[in-house]
Amino acid sequence: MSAMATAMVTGPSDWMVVLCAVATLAAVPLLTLCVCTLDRLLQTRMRLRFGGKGISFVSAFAGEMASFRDSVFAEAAPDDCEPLWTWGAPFASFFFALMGLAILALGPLTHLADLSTDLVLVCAAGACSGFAALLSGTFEHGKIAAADVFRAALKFIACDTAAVLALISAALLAGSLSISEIAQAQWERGAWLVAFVPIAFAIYMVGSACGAQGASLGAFLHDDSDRPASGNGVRGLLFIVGDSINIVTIAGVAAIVFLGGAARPLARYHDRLLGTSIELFDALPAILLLVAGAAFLRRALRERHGAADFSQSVPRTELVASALCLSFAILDGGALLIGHSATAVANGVFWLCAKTLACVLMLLWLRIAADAVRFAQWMKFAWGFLIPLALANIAGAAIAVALRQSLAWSPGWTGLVTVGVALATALLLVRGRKERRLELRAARRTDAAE
Amino acid sequence: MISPAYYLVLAALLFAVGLAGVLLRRNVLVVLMSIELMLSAVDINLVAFGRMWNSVDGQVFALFALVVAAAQAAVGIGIVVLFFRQRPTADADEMDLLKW
Amino acid sequence: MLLNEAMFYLLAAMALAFSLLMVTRPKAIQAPIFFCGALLAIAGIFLQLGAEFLFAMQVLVFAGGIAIVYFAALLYTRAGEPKTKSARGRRSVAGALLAVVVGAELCVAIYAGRASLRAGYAVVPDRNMETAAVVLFQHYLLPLEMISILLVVMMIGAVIVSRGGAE
Repeated sequence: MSAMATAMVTGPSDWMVVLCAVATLAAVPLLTLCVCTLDRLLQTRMRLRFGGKGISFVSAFAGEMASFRDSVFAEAAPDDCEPLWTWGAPFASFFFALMGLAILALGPLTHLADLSTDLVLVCAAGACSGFAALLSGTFEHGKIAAADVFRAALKFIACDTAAVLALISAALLAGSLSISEIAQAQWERGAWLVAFVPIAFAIYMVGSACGAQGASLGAFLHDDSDRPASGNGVRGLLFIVGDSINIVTIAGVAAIVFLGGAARPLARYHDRLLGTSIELFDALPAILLLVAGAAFLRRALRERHGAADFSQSVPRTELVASALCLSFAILDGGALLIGHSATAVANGVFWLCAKTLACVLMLLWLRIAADAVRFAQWMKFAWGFLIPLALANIAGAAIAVALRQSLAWSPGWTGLVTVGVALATALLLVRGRKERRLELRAARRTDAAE
Repeated sequence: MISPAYYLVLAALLFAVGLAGVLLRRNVLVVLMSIELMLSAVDINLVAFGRMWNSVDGQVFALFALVVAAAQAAVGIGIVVLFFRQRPTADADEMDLLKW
Repeated sequence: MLLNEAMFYLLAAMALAFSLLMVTRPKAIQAPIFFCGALLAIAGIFLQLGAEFLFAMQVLVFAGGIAIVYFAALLYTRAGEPKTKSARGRRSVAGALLAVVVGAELCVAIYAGRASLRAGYAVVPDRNMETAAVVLFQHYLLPLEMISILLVVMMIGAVIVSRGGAE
């Protein structure tokens, strides 16, 4: 709080802090809606392709809204449980998710929570939120489901441990636990951390996606229907919001820590392709948004003339999206053309949002895909493969840092060392598993022969 | 600035509350939680004194105490769970298998 | 610096209120929530004292880990919950009295030694994690190793203790 207090008293501008806080709070419903819509789209695609049923927690979203409207506070609490827990756990889940998002969004922007350890804090907030979701799952579903919820909790612990260990190797290479300093280190080095620890990035994405899947699975245990077995009304809504915010926070951490934050690709490379003073990569956001806006517009117009079974709201949504894209593109491009400095800020926001969106999509896809894997397989995979690999990554990163500091190796060579150590470990692990599987199969065959 | 005495008094009060929990409650797990609370109260003292002398040694000690608290929780809960299998109770007064 | 003091009083009140609730509320299943609240408030006090790493660790270890483990154990042993919440009769009076006496004694000791407490926080140790890391890994390397050995022993011990009933 001392940092907070000094920022409050001597900080650049109080109104900026308040503005950012209000903006973050206002963005929460929007983010929830975006994540839920993306999840629904992805699930529809996946189901069309593979068949079977997914987690279907978004298809429940409409039902949630209906039951929320029906019974705001008059919902029946499940019997045999403490009101303190049934209400406390959803609120805790929501609160911790909000805390993670606030630290991520407000820390670097306003120095409100400018801690030297905010990466750890974001991880802690995510873990607390997931555990709260699991806890309330225990109470929502009574004693029968408690075993399932604890199973989901075990999965959550294993996958989240791997994800946090993967983050540590990145922090080790960047030399800081502060998110803004990690972004700064990547800027100074001229390369994103994903180039040095690609395996850690993969582990982080897989681990956090499966952790999130475990948490949402614990909170929304399903019967055969599409609706979740319980978790209606306000409590269910709190979970969905908390869950979506968590996904956004995880994706934001990945985008900043591994993918360089607001820096554009090839930040150190200056080209003069498009004329005398404008660089291609500075113009790229405007061009991309222009293309996206045009695509949305074309699709909206085609939908209106096309089949009648689409609801009327679809073209309207796409019109709004296209208008947003086009206006941003025109503003950004205009600022670029007249050489206004606003284009740097706008491009930074664009790149950060684009990276976060890409990570959100990847996480959602992984989460849906993770549903097909059985619990025992997950545990074996997480403890036997992900966590050892993450530990090897940490060792590799430590060796790289030592080489850089004592022998003054260049970042490229040290990066090769890190990747080499991780790849060697991965190969060893995979080979070990394969051999064990072959041995098992041989043993089974001899058993069958006898 | 706030005098260290405030932190010390807060730690003393928390310690006393934790002690009351240890002495009064009968559920073993609540007793364990109260002990954790007492440990954390002591951590406040360590950090406050460290701040008073402008050194981080207090923080390092508090970190060690935190680790010990975590170890205590894990082993303590393990013992309680094991005991519960032997005799289905979580009452501290009935844990008298070693009494003669 | 009014905000700093207000923050301290708020956090102290939260810590005390949550810990009192934890000790006095009869239902054991509610205790982890209050426990978690009290420890989070203590974590806030660490932050106010400038111990950022300790703050993060307190949140991660207690709120994220230990409270959940306690909750699981409480659920597991719910059948054997004591019928009455606390000791009866003279023992409870004696216990409460003892706690009050210890608290009062500590406060009196602090009051008596207040002259040697320095009020000045001359240098605000901002972003002191690096210093803490250097101290931890250079001056206190041996204790650090010992504490990690303790953790390993604890893990093995917990596994052995909790599966010991099988034999």
